Amino acid sequence: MSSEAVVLGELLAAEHAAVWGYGVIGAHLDVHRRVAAVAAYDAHRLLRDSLLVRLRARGLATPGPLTAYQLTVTTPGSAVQQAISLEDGVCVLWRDLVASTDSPELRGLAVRALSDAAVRAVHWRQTIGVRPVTVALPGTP
Amino acid sequence: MQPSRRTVLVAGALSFAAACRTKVAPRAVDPDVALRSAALAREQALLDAYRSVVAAQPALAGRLQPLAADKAAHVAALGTPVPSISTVTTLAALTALERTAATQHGRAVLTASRSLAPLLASLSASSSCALAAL
Repeated sequence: MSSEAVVLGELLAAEHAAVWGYGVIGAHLDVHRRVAAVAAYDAHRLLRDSLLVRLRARGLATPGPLTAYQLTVTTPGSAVQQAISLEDGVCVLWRDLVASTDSPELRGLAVRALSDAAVRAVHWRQTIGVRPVTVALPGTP
Repeated sequence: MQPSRRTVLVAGALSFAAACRTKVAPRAVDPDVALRSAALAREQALLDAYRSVVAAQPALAGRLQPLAADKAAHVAALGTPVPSISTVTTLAALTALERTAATQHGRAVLTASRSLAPLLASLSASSSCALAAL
């Protein structure tokens, strides 16, 4: 099992990617769906910032975002698909954090972040009619 | 040399005392046992409630059955199912039950072992997702 420091680092990288990703995703959506993308963008920005605070408090490295990420978005439908896989991906890492720390504070953050990301994935599946809209165990690959 | 009667008696008393101490010593209680059975009770109550609402309002079956399938998977992941009759018959009551489960699973995550906590985290997230889907 990965250590707390490793997972925190992986989460920072994933949240950097999510912030970047929602910028691209939002640009491909109509006004109505873009509101949801902007809300998701803000949520991931806040998570990235709370990770930065916790990594710094532990004296760990805080690498910045990459200059670009691989993200194939050509249509509104593919934008929503990317949003779903992005949220599913961070769910796995937030669940990993629960398994790699004994800190109630970090576990509390992780379970909130996991729930919020899983709920965003449900909303995106509802948007494009993917059934079922839920998964039995969010955060399991 | 034969051991004296006193030596035998003292040795016997000492080993008896040692045996008592091992028996009386408080056994380390695994906190996961209680957390797991509480989680199983919550998920079983949810599964029973979904079935009960579908029985009372068959028109909701299409919407509720996929969520009930999630609950059945949770029960299977936690232990042995013990179905019972639920008194929940409305969507509002089902929603309240999911909300409570999300909170209580989330609270259990904070103190569970590293092996149980991730499952409880998924259960909490699943209840939040059900609230979004209901």
